[in-house]
Amino acid sequence: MKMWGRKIVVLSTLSLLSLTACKKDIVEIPEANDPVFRTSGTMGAETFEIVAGDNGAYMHTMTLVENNVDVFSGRISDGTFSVEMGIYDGNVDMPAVQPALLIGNLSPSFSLDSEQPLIKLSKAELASMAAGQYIDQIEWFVNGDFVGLNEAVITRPGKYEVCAEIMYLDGATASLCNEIIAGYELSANYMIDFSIAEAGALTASIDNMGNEMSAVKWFVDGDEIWSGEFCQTSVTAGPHILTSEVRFVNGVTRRKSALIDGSNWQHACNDFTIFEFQAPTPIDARDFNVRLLIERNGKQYSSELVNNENSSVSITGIEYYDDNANGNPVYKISADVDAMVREVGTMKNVPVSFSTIFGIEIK
Amino acid sequence: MSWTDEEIDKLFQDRAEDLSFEYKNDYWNEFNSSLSDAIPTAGIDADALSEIDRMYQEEAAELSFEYKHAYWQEMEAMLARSQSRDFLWYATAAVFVGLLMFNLFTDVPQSNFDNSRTLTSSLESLTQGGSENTSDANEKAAGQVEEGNVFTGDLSLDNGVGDVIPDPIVNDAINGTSLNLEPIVGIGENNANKFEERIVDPSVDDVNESENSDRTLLPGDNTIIETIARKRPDAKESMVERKELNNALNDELAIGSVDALQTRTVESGKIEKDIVDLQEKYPLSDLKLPTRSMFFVELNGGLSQSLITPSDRMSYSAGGGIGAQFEKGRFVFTTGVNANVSFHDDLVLSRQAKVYGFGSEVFKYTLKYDQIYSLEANLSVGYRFGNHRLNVGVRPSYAFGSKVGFTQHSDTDETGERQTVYGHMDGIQRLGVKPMIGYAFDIRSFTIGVNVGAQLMPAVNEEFINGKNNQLPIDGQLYIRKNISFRR
Repeated sequence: MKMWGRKIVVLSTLSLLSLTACKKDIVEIPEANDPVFRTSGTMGAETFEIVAGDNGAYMHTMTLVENNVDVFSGRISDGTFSVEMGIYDGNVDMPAVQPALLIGNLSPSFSLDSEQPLIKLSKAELASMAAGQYIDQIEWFVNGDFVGLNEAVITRPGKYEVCAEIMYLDGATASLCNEIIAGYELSANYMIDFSIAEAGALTASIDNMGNEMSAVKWFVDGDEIWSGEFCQTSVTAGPHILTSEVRFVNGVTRRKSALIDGSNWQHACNDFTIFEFQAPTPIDARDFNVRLLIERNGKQYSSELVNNENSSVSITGIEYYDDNANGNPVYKISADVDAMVREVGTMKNVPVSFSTIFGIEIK
Repeated sequence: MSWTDEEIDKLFQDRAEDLSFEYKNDYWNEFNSSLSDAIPTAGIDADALSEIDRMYQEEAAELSFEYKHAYWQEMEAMLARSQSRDFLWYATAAVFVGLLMFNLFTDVPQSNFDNSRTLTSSLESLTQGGSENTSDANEKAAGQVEEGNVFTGDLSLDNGVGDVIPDPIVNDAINGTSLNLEPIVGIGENNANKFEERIVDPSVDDVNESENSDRTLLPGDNTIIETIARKRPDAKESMVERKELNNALNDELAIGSVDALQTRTVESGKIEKDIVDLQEKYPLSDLKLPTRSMFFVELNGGLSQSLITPSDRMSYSAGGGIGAQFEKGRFVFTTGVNANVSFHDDLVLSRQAKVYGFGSEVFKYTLKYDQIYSLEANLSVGYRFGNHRLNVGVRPSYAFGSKVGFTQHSDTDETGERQTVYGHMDGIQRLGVKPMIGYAFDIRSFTIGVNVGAQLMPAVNEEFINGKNNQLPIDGQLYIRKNISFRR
């Protein structure tokens, strides 16, 4: 009997072990679901409905770059009808800010392309300053493109790399580049004050215009030479680029450059901050503005070509959905849109109204 | 009230069949003490006993019974009825082919039933053996009668190997009391003489006689062996009463030769009185039947109707487990648990799913539940008819696993690769309950049985299976159990 008892115990134990040791597989059974992205409404007198996944429609998501500013965008299209919606980045002088955290709490407006000058680049402005009084002429280059001699205008919002090819009265030449932000709110700004004495003795400081700074770095020709609000050093003979990088307490980070010469104090030029200060205050900064592009039957319509001052975009929800094929996060935005679009190349305006669950990529 | 022979026989047989209890030495001691009270032998010296023995032998030697064929026919009728009953049961068992075949091959006599410790089975064995022995004895006696036509002496049973068991002792063993049934039929003078020899000096061969009794009456039945072996020394004690009875018999014999029937007639009143007295003193209904328990290991296999409809497929199952069995009288309570695997051919889920995202993708997939693993309890109560048992109960079950073939197709590829996964249970309802009825047959320490049940609860989750739940799918289960008793 004891033998049988042992057998029972052994068999029971083995059975339990066998049961518990069984591999438990999880079957990933795809389950049908409701459409995720859809847009339905009217355009003019025509109704439309696009459902991503039906009739070949697809929700494309991407981040476009418009004048060095990100436009968080998505386009839902079935091949014949597409709706593209983009949200411009905001706080462009605050690189650390997460746009997705802000978009949901905003009531964005439609962006508007206008011919109103946002930035005026002027040799006279620079020459009016002490360091630039010996400038003879300037060739202006914006994002690498020549835009004017001595005077130039920037009309579209963006973050530009503006370069000046400077010729001094003595015929010497030098080049200076600075970042200029046009059409967006600036949460902080500053400019470099400097003086250079004989034998290349350089004294520089930050004019923070009342904005509290948290860190300042100084560079000469790209090499960091100093930290702190005030900089004292000596530079060798010849032209040099003095650069400062300032991080403000509110998160703004800017970088500006000035032109110095260790052997000739006349060969100098201030940074371009003066142009940002003198820019007319925009009616509506482009931060987090919405743009709408519609393509119907081969024709393109844009909301930026028409004044949508009385139009509305109501974002009722934003949530992370998934990463797209590029590996970037995609947010699902629920919105109600009433706007006016104009057919590109014409003056034909068409009202459009729709509700949408839209996907946009936000890096 | 007058008892006829048939009534007495029937009473005896019915009571004997109903008896079932485990041998315990305490009971025996209590029984002995009661005998001492009923038949006090203390104080009787050896001379008195010798005198009693001598008188008994003399009186017994003078007994002469006339053989009457009618009595023999009566006994034959009784034997035939018993054999008919057994045949009926075997015929019933023949329905269950597996059981019958196994039974035929093994040719196991009923007396070998493992429940040897129950007096029920002992009595059955005894009854059958006694019948056979009685038959043999009668055949021998018949031969002797043919020679002499008249024989005398008490009823003795020749077991066929030369041993003789006096009927009163057997009767005592059967009843478990000191019931002293008087001889019904004389069997032979020689046998009577043998018995007389033991009556004269019962202490001489007590042990041998007990051993002989073991071999003769109850092969493998230790309890009844002990019962008889312990009873033998008490033969002395009972002799006083026997002597008194014999004296009364001698009074009757004094008027001449009395045939066996006359003897019964003369003694029937006393028998009736004895029975009534004993029943009053030791009512059988007051016997406390002990509960027997044993464990078992089980292997089973089964067939079932499909769990879903429409389907023309069957499912199969196999498994094993352990359990325990409790017997109270003729009732058998069984509890156990089995780990079962069932094989299915029609539990299939084929679906296509359109999954939306940035676009959409249509997935076509097939899930085929090949095997379902479950734990199944067995709770039943049975009623025993000898080695046969009818059961009714319920089998609750819990499905804990599955083997599933998963094939997924894409829109463009119709030949997806099949992968086997375990544990996917979406399509299976985990809980089930099957009421059942069953039949079981005991062979030595094994039990073979069948159960027929019907699943009450929905077995599949219709959302994940092609088809609907079959209403009350019936299954049949054949099992074999190895009974293990941990008590000696």
